Amino acid sequence: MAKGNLIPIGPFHPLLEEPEFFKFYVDGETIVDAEVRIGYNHRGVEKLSEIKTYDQATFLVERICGICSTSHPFAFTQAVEDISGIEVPDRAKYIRSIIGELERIHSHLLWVGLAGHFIGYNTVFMWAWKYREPVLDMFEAISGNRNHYSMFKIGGVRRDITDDKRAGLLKAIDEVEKFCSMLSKAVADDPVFQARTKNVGILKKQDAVDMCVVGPVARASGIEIDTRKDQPYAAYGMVDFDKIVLKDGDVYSKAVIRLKETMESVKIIRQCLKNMPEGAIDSDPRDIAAGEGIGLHEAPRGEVIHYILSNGSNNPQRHKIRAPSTMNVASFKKTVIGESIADAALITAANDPCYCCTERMVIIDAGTKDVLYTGEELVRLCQEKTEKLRK
Amino acid sequence: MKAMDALKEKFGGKIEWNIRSPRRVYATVAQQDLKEIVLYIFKILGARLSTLTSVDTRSGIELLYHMLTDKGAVCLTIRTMVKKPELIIESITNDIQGAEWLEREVHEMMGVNFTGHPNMRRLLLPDDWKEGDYPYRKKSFDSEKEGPQ
Repeated sequence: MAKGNLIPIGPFHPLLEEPEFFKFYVDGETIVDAEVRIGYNHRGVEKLSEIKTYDQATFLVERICGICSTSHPFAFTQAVEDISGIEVPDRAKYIRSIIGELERIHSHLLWVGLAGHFIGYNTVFMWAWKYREPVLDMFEAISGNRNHYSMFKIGGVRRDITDDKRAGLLKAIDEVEKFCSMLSKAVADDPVFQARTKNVGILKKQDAVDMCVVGPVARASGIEIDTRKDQPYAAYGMVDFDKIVLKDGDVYSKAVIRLKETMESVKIIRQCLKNMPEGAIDSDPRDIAAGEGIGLHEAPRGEVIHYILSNGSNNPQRHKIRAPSTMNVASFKKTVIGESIADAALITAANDPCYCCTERMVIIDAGTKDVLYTGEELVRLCQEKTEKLRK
Repeated sequence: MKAMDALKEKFGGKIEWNIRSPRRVYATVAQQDLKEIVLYIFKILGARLSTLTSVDTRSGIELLYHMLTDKGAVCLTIRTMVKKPELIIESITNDIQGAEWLEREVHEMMGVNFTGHPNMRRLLLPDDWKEGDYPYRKKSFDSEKEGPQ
């Protein structure tokens, strides 16, 4: 084959929230071309939503993603509220922000753990997931569920954060903060970690603009976008936090951004718990007027956008959903070309949606169709490279 | 809103405005002006294309280009109607690479043909999906019956 050998990656893994199928063409150990195919988990949620009532659709969109399950209800409820200007009580706004930030913490820690695993730092993996656990416990304490919290409804939230939950929540985020500052010192400054991630899988600023990427991927390439700051919604306009932006666009920047954002989330939650006013948590709206609305939310992986066209009945006439990974995954072609196979697992992990497919990586010689490497071997390859650097 | 002022000055009567709120602005344009206006917003005004929505109606498919202008502070939606049954519109992918998947999705789900698109292959639907069956269309429009499907 003119393009060299083909490496198919994917498409399915039971852990993966968005199965994708990557085809990498390699020349020796260098990737020379890449193709992506998605749609293996396409469930037609947009169409399904058209036959659900607005209240049912809130639960439906929560099921789009298992890890950042609040992102879609967050954007969806705001889109519906945008149609007829439904007011949300202040207390509900603060609770929404707390849930959104708790989710960012657990999602980023999950990524940090997996990134550590891929480069052979299994201690990081164990640590990150250990500190992620109390966050999930807090979700259980607040909502009754460790995942799929069902906290959102149009016009407010479904459950209050009572005073007895507050102490536990503060303790959990204190531990997260301690861990993140420890990790920043222990790992981010580690020369081997830097050697494995710096200048690897670079997404240049101009490419990032052209590909319209969002979230930490865009911010790592120097694009200053963060929906929480650009269009303050929920309680984000009432709390103080920083937009983290770095310039280099490599795997290292993406890791640092996620660690720093976790610290910012801790800051936001503390302020929310302190400033949260007493009062109602739900404005209990009755009717959705005819019209259209757009809801935006900064999910852990970037901006989520929902568009709803209402004809005045109790279900949407058209419901468009765009998840951040749609934009971020497409930028792959820019980041992997020219890199080595050993780094492919890491680069595919750096955009966050794709870490799980790496366990399904198979390298096939295009001529003989023999399997050269399995997914496990690729992770091992990636880890061995770190070992060599250590020596 | 700087972007809106710049557009009013540059394109004048070609755009019909509907300002729902300071952060939600809708602008209706004719199909032949769409590409020029979207590229102007993207390249000159430095906006980001957030997504592309398609809405099925009896006479055509309405396309909505959601763009974040003024450093993300305003969600400006450029809308245009693509007429049935031809459903042909010029692609913007060669100028905005991020639109590649968005246009492929609309093509698969609604059957809009984007001329000049570099890679109009299946993205989401399985390879053996029936040609000409567009899952996000309202089937009731085809059979001229009222009510959602």
